[in-house]
Amino acid sequence: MKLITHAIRSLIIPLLLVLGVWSIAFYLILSDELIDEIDDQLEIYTERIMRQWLSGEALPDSADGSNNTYYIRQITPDEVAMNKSVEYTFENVYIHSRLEEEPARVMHTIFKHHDGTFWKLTVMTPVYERNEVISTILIATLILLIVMLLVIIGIFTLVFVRYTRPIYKVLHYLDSYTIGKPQPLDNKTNVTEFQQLNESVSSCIHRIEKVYERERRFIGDASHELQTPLAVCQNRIELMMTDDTLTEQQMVELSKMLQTVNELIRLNKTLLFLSKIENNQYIELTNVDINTKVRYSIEMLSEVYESKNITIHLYEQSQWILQANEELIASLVSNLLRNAYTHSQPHATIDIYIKEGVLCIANTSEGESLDTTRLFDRFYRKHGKKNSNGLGLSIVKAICEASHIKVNYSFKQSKHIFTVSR
Amino acid sequence: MKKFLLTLACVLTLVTNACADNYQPVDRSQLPEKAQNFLTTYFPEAKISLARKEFDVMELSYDVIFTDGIKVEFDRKGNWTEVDCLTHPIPSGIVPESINKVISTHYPEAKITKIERNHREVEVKLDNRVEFTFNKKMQLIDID
Repeated sequence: MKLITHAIRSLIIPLLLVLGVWSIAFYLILSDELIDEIDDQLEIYTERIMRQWLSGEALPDSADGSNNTYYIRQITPDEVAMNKSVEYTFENVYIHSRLEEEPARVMHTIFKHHDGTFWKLTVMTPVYERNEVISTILIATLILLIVMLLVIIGIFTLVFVRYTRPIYKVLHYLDSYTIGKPQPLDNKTNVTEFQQLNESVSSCIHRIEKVYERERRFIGDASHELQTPLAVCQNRIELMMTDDTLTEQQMVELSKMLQTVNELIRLNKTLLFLSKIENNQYIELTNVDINTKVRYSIEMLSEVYESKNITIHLYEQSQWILQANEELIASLVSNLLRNAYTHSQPHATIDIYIKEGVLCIANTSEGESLDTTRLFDRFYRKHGKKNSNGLGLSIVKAICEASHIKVNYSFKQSKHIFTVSR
Repeated sequence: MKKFLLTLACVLTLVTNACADNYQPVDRSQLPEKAQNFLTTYFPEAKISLARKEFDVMELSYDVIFTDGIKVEFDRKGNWTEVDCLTHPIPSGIVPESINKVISTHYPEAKITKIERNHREVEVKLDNRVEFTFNKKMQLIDID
């Protein structure tokens, strides 16, 4: 769930609670106030009639235009005991002026005459507008509640989005960051925390770059420094093998040793090559004809792997001429093809497909898909295969990056497919 | 949360209670002592028709209506705030002397039928329907 969703969710519950309670209280107070107002009028009217009646003055006409009606009747002491002497009720009352029953607020007052008798004065006023007013109040309160909720959440969202923008910028920056190619972080903000975040991210990236650079240089330097001792070692062994006094057993051991040293030299050369590619030492660009390179590589490799008896299917839909370093492209093509050859079973087929901007090399598989996350890592070998040094695909990857082209691996219909594309 | 709801319920009940049931009938003995003394002093003969206690938003007051229609109102401490005798003159001694003097200079024949006071002013009504308003220092400020 996104941060904004969390924030709104935790905002909306207390907000609903507070605003809801507030609305209910507002509604109750208003509708009570309405009744109170009616009661106050009834009270004034009651007092007037009661006092006029007590003092013996003429009583107002029942239909004096105020919509109020009243009647006075004598009651027994028993009734006095049963009823409250001041009481308000809601009743349906027949209103003469309207000729029908209407809801009315009624006030009963029991009082004493000077001769000791009890009388009950009943005063009523119709309240047909009351329900209307109350429902209007209810609707207005509800609308107010909803509008306030929406406005508060709207403002909150705007403010939130505005102030958290730098976080998303940093996230995007970290996502798009590739090692060895740092971009400056452009994220202007006045918020202290975000300024600190920017600084932390920038200095972290800087440290990563430094470590990466040091590692790259170390590999380059190490393999460079290893070249001479390895060559000396190779020469010594070769020199030693010219000695006629050696036994056959010793000769076999020496040739095995020489083989290992040669392997070591090849490995070191590859590492040096990789380091040179990564250091962008191949800057000379020419128009390279991919088709020619592929055909040349097939010719070379089919001789090397003649014993495997592999069939090549070459589909050339169009020519692909790429502006790149010729040496690198030659290495790229030969590495990919060598990879296909080494990982094919005897008598298998390799499909090669070329068109403008795309080169596909597919070989039938002995097993399942390769680990795509580690495929292009250095020294990654599946099941500890002996006949490769695990650097071929790293070289492919490095060349592609240096030449600004893409390489992808996919596994379809039990075929390993490597696609190089612009 | 529970506490909050409880408080809420209490507040709501209070609000609704305060608004409803404005009047409560009382006996003579339930009136403040000062009010009872006032009644025995100035209206020794009168019988009470109805005595009520009135709850307003902020204050408590009492009113007493006699069987002849005369009405007296008291504040919560039992001080009178209104005496209304309809057409009869108010018993002497209730109206302050300074007010009596002012009125007798204007209308020597007239009788005071109603007097009303609050913390700011005193209003007096005569039987000829003229109304006098005095301030706290018993100075005349308005004739209507």
